[in-house]
Amino acid sequence: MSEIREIDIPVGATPQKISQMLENFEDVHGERMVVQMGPQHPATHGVLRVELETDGEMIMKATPHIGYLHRCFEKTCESMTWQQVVAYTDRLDYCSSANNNLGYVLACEKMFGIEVSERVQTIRVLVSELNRLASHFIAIGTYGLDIGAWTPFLYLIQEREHILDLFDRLCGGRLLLNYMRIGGLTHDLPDNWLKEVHEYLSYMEGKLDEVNSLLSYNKIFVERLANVAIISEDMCIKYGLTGPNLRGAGKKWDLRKNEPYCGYETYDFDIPVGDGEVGTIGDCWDRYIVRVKECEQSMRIIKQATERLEKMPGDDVLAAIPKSMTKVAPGEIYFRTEHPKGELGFYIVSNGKKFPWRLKCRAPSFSSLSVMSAVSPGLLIADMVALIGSIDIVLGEVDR
Amino acid sequence: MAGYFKDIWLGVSTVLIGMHITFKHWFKFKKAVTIQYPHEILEMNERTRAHLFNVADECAVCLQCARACPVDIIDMQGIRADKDEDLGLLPTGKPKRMHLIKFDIDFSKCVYCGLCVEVCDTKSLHWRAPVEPCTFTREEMYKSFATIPPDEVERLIAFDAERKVKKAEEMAAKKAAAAAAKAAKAAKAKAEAEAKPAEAGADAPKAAKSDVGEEKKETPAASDTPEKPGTPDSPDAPENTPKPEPDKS
Amino acid sequence: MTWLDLLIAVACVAGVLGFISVVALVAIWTERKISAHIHDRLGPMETGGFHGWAQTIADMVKLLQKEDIIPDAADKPLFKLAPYIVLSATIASFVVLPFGAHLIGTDLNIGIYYLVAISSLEVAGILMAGWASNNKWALFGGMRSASQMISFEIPIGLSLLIPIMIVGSLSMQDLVGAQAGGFWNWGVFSHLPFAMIAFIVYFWASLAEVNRTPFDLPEGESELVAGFHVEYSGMRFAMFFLAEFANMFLVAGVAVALFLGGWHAPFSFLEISAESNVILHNLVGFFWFASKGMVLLFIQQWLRWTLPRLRVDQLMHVCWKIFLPFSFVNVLIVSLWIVLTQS
Repeated sequence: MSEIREIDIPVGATPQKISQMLENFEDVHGERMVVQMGPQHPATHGVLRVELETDGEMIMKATPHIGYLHRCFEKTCESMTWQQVVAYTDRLDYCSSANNNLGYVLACEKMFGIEVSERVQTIRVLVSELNRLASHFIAIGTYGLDIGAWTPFLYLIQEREHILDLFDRLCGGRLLLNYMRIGGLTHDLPDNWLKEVHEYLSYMEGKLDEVNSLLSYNKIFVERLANVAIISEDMCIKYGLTGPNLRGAGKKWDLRKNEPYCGYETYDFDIPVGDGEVGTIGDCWDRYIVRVKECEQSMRIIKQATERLEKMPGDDVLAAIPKSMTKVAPGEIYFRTEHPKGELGFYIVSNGKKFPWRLKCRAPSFSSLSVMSAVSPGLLIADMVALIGSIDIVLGEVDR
Repeated sequence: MAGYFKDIWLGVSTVLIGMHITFKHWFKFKKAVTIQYPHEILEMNERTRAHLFNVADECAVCLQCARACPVDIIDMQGIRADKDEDLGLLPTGKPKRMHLIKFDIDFSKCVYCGLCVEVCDTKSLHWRAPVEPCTFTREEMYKSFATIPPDEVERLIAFDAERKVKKAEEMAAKKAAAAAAKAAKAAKAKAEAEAKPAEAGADAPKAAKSDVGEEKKETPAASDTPEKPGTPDSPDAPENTPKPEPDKS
Repeated sequence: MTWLDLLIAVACVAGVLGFISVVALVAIWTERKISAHIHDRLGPMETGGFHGWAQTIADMVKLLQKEDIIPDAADKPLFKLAPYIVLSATIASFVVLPFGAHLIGTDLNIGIYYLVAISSLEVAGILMAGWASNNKWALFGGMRSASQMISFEIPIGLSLLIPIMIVGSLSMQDLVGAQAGGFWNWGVFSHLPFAMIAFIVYFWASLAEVNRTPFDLPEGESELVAGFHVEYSGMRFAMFFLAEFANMFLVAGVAVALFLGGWHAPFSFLEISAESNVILHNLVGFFWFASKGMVLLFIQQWLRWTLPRLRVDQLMHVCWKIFLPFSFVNVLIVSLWIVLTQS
């Protein structure tokens, strides 16, 4: 039963086709084994349970079971005041809380018609790009860890630590920032903070190249990821995969460019897409390398934002925060932003009271996870680990 | 065949490149990025959300923090000081009018969001460096910040109850007097309207004494108190917000 | 057998056991330190004063005190037996390792053959552990380990054949003795570059033999959690651990004995001749052997903290399609060379 067969799977074959090909071997292989991967498995990035039906080490069927981290985010928000919800959005995707804050805050501001100053917008862009960087560092590092390379993970954690220190100076939180408010921010920038961001950017020069040569282009790493778990553009759209996963499949789609918010249209940056450099477009390696390249683009945005803020005269970041939110305008809105994991959407209904009447969160990781059972037939257990890592899910967001 | 050797070459060369990088880190090791915790302790930043601390003498007992808390962990109680009692000045410059007899925080539930500190007008509630927040039992996670000794608290409660009774008596007498003075049928409606604020005034200290959860529900009922009901909606502009001070009535 | 023989035998066993434990403790400590310094950290710093040198001893004591948990559904006799088999196979292999001119358990005339044979016994233990745990992950680990170790025996055997052919003996001391007189006489530099290729193939294949990164699939903590020893705790786990690190030194020791001059110093003036002082001669020999072994151990650890892990099919690809052809061609060329030069 430990026999591994080499099956010529044509490039770009659909999962159905692969399953069909594997059906032919069933008589030889005997009965299947059900393995529970998780909820305490190190490669599932949290408390995800995947029920694997395997034939030897080859996966015939994978069913993700979620809900171990469910904490009623949407329902809880219905009994929280508009500003208190911000603290709860932090905990959606705990790796990139500023981006969650941004999504919620922008949705509310648009619904209530609150205008914030350009400086506040620029600070928001700066902070959420820094957090995107931190989130991608985690994604890249833990991916290396999944594949068996320890060292890049610790190097990237080290770089991320500097960002967290910057956040600590900025708003007192390191992981869960709770920095944005409807209509503004909690604190103004501390003294010398922009200078520290500049220092950080110059410190980071060449660090990503080191990661690239240590991990990304390592032959073993490439072999492990190239042509594994290919998710085509069509499939991404069908299953609702967005963000780096969609871009890894070759689609140039980034909400920061396509539906700009927060003044993103004024920044100069590119959208990296997967081009099948070492394998097929849309394989694990493409999804991975898109994240590495996005880090570079984020750094470009951070640089521009810092330069702008240095020139801008200071203003009161609390100015546009409504004095009272016990009575707000009734209405409903769906607003989406580009989150490090994909498209984060908030559907909010207000009935004019001090609590949101309904709040629905469209979590990117949740949609990303849905593709798992479709692409996993025909993978080995080790590839499954590569797949879970490459779609970069955070269980805090999947379960909400 | 060429592909075969190219693969081997790529494998060997990338392994060597990787080894070179780790070797550089290994031997150019100067200073560790980690710290040796019990020997070195990092300094806390000014804004770090580490550990809540309330200075009882500076607390106005405005209950804003208890309302701001999304997880309802601040359990506070205050008793209005007597008219001629001098409790000193608050950092805002106003005289302190309330005894803080209870201020408990259940740190096992704290989410460290910082909303309570943001709304604190007097800055008596603030963040301090963590003093080993780990405990052996859950009970130790309850931290109390009220400084009044228990017997004094009892005295205050008794005093408050006495005062309440006295006030109620006074009110009743006043009401009776008012009712007697304006016994006329046309004036009766007016007398009732007057009685209402008086009742509310009598309720306020009781409300402050009661549990926070109850307080939340009760406050909107007191129609004439200047505060906005519910949770803080303007956490960052407290100066402009009318302060909900129960002692006003 | 006289009582003196018995005493010597006991001393040998005690010496080997003591050496294995010390090597394992040192290797675990260096592994921690090396990984820490590669990661820009410090690693253990508290236990024992200087850079936490006593950390592994403390860990051993902790493991000794731990409860020995045996899963209810496990195949109990096999479960209990497995760590002993793994450890005893490792210890038995140390018998023929030449630490010095006279520091050798027994200089069998088929020493290297014995070593290769006995160290393969370990597979049985690991497979037993994987099976008896009654855990699917452990079973995967055991199966992977079996397939991997058996496959990698072949390139290992073929590359060990090169120094054996050159020297013409299977005895470990003969193999070491042929490399005396400076590092240019070492096995790795004879018949350049073929012995060198054999050495590289041996070193990489031995990583698979001892389940080290990039071939640590049987344990692969991100895939199989801990592989075959996932259900073990306490002393039984410690035995696997000890066996793993002792095995690392064993394969390094074989590489040293066959390719890197064994207990000979890189330059002959760094040695003390056996005629002047036998004890010193042995001790200096031991020093060189152990330090060369440690260097290889460091390289194993360095590789571990650099590389990702291969996949099962790629592991087999590396074994059968890369190492095997290379070592096979190597053997052919070297045997041809020997035949041509000797005739």
